Amino acid sequence: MASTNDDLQTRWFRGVLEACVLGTLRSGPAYGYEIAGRVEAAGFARPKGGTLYPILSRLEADDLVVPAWIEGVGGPSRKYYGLTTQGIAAADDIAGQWHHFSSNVSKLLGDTTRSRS
Amino acid sequence: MTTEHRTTNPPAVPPEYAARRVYFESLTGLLLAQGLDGSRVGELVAELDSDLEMSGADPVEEFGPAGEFAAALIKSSGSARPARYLAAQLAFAVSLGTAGAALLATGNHTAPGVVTLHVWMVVNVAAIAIGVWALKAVGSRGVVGRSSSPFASVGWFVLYVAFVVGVSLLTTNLDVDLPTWVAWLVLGLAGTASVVTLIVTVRMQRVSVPGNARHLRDLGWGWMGR
Repeated sequence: MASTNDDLQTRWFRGVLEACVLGTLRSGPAYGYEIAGRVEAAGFARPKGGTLYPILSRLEADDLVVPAWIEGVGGPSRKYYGLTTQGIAAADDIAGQWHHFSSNVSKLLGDTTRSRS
Repeated sequence: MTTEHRTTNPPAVPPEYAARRVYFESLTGLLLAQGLDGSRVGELVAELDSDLEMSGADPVEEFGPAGEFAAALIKSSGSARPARYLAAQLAFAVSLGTAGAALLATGNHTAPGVVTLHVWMVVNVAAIAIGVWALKAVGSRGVVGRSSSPFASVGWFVLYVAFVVGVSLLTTNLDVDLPTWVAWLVLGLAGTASVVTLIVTVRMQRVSVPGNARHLRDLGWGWMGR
């Protein structure tokens, strides 16, 4: 049953990962590996690079994030992503839509629970 | 009596770096083949390498097979221009063919065309030789022929030969009366166009790795410059 729950949440998560990435950048610019860490810290499975980087690439192409290379100290250079003005507006918009969506889903799930009991 | 054998092997490349280099070599070729600019490819490779440097993960486990990952990156970046290299090759062929036609026209106008015809043949043979060398060099690194455009090279030669033969037949059967300065103007413009085409094409494929990803410096793309 646990694996079924994991599969379900994985499928949900795939649908909202792009929104989550935008959300993680609201707390400040971050590089790819750090973004994955922030997502993981929020309680999700750490997204693989094969999923994360195409999303970052799309956000960059849509001008929602802006990259900046910063030399690492004793390590490799890192490409930081920060939200643009459009990106901030998109993150706010997505947050509003998500609350509306999740509230509706919660209502439906709540009704189902009551009808069973 | 014992004999000492001292060997001086180069410093060993850590296995994880070797795996990364193989992966990034493949990814770089695939991304270039699908029209992503070299500078963007270099940035991506450096960024992904930086990620692996921190996670220590295997590239295939982290990013998936290079082909699928390249396709996802191209789709998400919205910058695929697969026809660009074929267009550049065709422009090169047409400009060289025009140059040859201009030379022949000049010969018909000013003198029996035998000498000029020989010059034209030399120019065309040289052009084909350069084309073969360029396609071989580029194709061996997956830019042309390995992934999405195996017919680009064949198409290039078929069209080129058809163009040269066609122009040859036309100009030998027609009494071309073209002022010399026009022919040389066409020759100059065509020559300039072919050189510019080549320079632009090569510059678009230039891969430069930003930052300090030292082990990626010799990815095998050095012939394109850094």
